[in-house]
Amino acid sequence: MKFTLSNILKKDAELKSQSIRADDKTTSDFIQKTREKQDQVLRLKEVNRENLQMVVQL
Amino acid sequence: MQILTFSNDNLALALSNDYTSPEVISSKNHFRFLQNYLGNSGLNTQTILVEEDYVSKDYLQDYATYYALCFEKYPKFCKRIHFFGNEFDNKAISKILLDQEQDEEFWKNYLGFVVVKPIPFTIIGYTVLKTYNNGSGFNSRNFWGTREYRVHLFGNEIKFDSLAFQEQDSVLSACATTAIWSMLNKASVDYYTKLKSPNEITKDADRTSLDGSRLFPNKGLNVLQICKAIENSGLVSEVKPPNQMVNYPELNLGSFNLLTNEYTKKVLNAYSPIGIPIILVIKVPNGGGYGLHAITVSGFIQNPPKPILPKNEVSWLSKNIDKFYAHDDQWGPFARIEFDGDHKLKTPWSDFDPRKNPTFITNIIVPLYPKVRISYEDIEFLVLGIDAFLTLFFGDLILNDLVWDVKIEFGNNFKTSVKQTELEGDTKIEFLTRSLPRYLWVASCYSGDIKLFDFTFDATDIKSGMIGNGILCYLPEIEPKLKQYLITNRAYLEQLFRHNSKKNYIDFFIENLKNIEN
Repeated sequence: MKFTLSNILKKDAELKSQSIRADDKTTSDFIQKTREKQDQVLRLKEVNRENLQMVVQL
Repeated sequence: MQILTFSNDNLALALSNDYTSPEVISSKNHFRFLQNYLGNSGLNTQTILVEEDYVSKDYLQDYATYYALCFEKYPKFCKRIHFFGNEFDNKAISKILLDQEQDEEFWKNYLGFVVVKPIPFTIIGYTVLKTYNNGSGFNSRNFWGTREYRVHLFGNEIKFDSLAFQEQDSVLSACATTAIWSMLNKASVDYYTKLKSPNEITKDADRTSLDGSRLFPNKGLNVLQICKAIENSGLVSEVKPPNQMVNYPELNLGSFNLLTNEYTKKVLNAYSPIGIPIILVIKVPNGGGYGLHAITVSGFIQNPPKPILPKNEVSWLSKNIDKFYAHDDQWGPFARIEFDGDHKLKTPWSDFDPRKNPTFITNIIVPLYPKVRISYEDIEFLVLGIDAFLTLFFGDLILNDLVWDVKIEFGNNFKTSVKQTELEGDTKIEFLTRSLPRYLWVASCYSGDIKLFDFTFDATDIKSGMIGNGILCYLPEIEPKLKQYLITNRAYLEQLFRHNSKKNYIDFFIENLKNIEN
């Protein structure tokens, strides 16, 4: 089945390419929050030496 | 050859040997597990066929290394017990065997076998049993870590998909060795990887035990040794360490580190298409306390994408995985394990624990072909950036939240799946005729159950490069508007993709989105 934009947007909504204002605090906070989440993901790759030495023995 | 009607007593009898009585067999975890798995709530076995004097190559290697050198006269022959979903007697099977043509209807009832080793207590050797129903889509059991086995019995060949299992013998192998052995049974289908016997795997891990004493009887392996053994078989490992510290006062464990269920689901979902079983290190209730154990995951059930109202957190399709299936060498093959809340698992260990204490995950070891160099976390970093600019682009106009499905795919398999889509003919041809790397990370974006995009990344590249590979847009009306949005806000959105490469991700997205509205 083929879908169109109207299937994912609210009724009568029209998608436009708006520019982000430099003084838009909500957007800059959102971007900052995304960057923090990205940092958390990179921390998942840090080596935990103590954990690597745990013996699996059951 | 001996034919037995399937019952608990006959199962115990068939699994017993000169060193282990049916009564002792009945007390084993494996017996409880096989009763259920083979019984009428499982594969619905009707008949057991016992094949005597079976030569198991796998046991022979361990026999030559260890058991042959014991003073006790351990035999080198095993017995193999076969399970069938139909009823028959000696006369009927004799007639089937005398037929010149293989009776396919009869052999459709074949359910698999267990090799019974002629040693005390740890008798479950090379075991290949059919899975419960298997499918590859949503809402069905998806056993992505299985392969085809060809069983030869009395001049007949029976083929079915499974993953080999055996229990640790606590001499040449502990649970970690056995978990690696099961994984290698699938991975060795590819020419990169060598299937080794349990004693070879343990020797690959180290020269001595961790306490400096003899390697055999083996007392277990640590995570680094597990990775070393995997590497010596031709694969590499990605180790996913704990990502959260918790404290459950009722368990008296103090604070300890674990992997959250959310992260585990992401990892299982992400690496499953490669088809190599994934090793989990789990903390299980045992003897009134807790111990570490290794299991091998080969399948899961995932619910399809559902509409979710827009929310602040990023949504992941992997969240729809409710349960998975793992070879647990102390219970049996394809043991069902359920996620329970944010941290806990329901495993057979928990089900049979007197206090029903939960199981936790402390490590994931993902065995991979060496050419896969980009990890899941590198891709999630990028997906968070893409989700952010799409969220800003759609604003409050979108009905349902964006949901992400991040997976590594073989390039050719991904092309096959693209062939089945409703993409425009030109877009499809353009993509199918492109040269692709052998491994591709694919981040699919859904709104409700409607797929919007596939963003593809080269999994064989180096992470300091710009690894973007392509974009497939399933709603072409979005493309020109999104392209214009990225051009207009390029300087602002670049900060979502902090990167050292000269080539910019925003430029990559702009270049790969089409201009013209269809």
